[in-house]
Amino acid sequence: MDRYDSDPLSLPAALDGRRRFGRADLEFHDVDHSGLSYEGRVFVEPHPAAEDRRPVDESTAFDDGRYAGSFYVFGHWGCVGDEGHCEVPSGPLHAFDHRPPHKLTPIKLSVEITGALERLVEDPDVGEFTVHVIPHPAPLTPDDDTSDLLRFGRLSLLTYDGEGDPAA
Amino acid sequence: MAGEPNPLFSQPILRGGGRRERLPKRTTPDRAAEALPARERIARVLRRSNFLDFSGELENVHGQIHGWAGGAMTSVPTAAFDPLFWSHHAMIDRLWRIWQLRNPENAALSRYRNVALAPFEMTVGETLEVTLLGYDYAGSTTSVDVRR
Repeated sequence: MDRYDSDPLSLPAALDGRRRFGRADLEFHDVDHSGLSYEGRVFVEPHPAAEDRRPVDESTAFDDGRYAGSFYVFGHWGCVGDEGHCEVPSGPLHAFDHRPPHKLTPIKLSVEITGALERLVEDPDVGEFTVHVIPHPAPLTPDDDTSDLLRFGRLSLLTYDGEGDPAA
Repeated sequence: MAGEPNPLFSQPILRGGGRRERLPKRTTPDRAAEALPARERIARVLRRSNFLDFSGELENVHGQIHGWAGGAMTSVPTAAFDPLFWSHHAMIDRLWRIWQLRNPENAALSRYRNVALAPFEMTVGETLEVTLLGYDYAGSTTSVDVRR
């Protein structure tokens, strides 16, 4: 896809029911990295979005209050090989198969969005929010097709209730 | 050789369909150097004590540099043609070493230790101790200027 716009997600609450957390991560699962490299710029905004707000697009700047962070895909620029070489095996490897995973096995990438989510929960009227991802490709040659770069299987929001950053 | 052009610069690269192309020049990044991962971002990556969390965040930093540099650095099959690749990956390897020293009980998940690293005749477990590979990274450096 050329951009991703999520369905509305509920703003999470901590175990004590309050809307606070020490850290929040957006996890992108099964991210395809077989094509061009790109930066995925992640934006979050209340749902429903304010009618007078300009929709997020390629030109939305980093200093826009909806910018939450970025993930970076280092792409393989396609795959060349004999029959079957570029096909990613499905299913788990056998326990005694010591070969490394296929080079094109989709990966998981995460973006810390603590600051952006804090801005959302500050407004008690906000109950849901949406996530937008805009890919900014890094083509290798002028002929490279920069469409349909953004491919992933699942999006997760993880919040940690502890005081402060668990990585601190 | 000193004074001679880098032969890698004119090396054609192969892409799908057997088409050969010249190596692209590095493009001017559209973002300033301030956008690169700063000391605090790296410190946060190193504070992740779980191997999968650490490796995922390090991969994100790693990919960011490749995309930021532009040119050959932006794709897996061509990146190593750019001399910048080698200093970039030395830094990534150094961060891996620092993390290992800080998390000796968690150097790598056990399921990775026996993974074969073809075409090298080694497994993951045999690469974890860099001093056995013949190198190490200085933990700190201090110098004084003796010129007066």
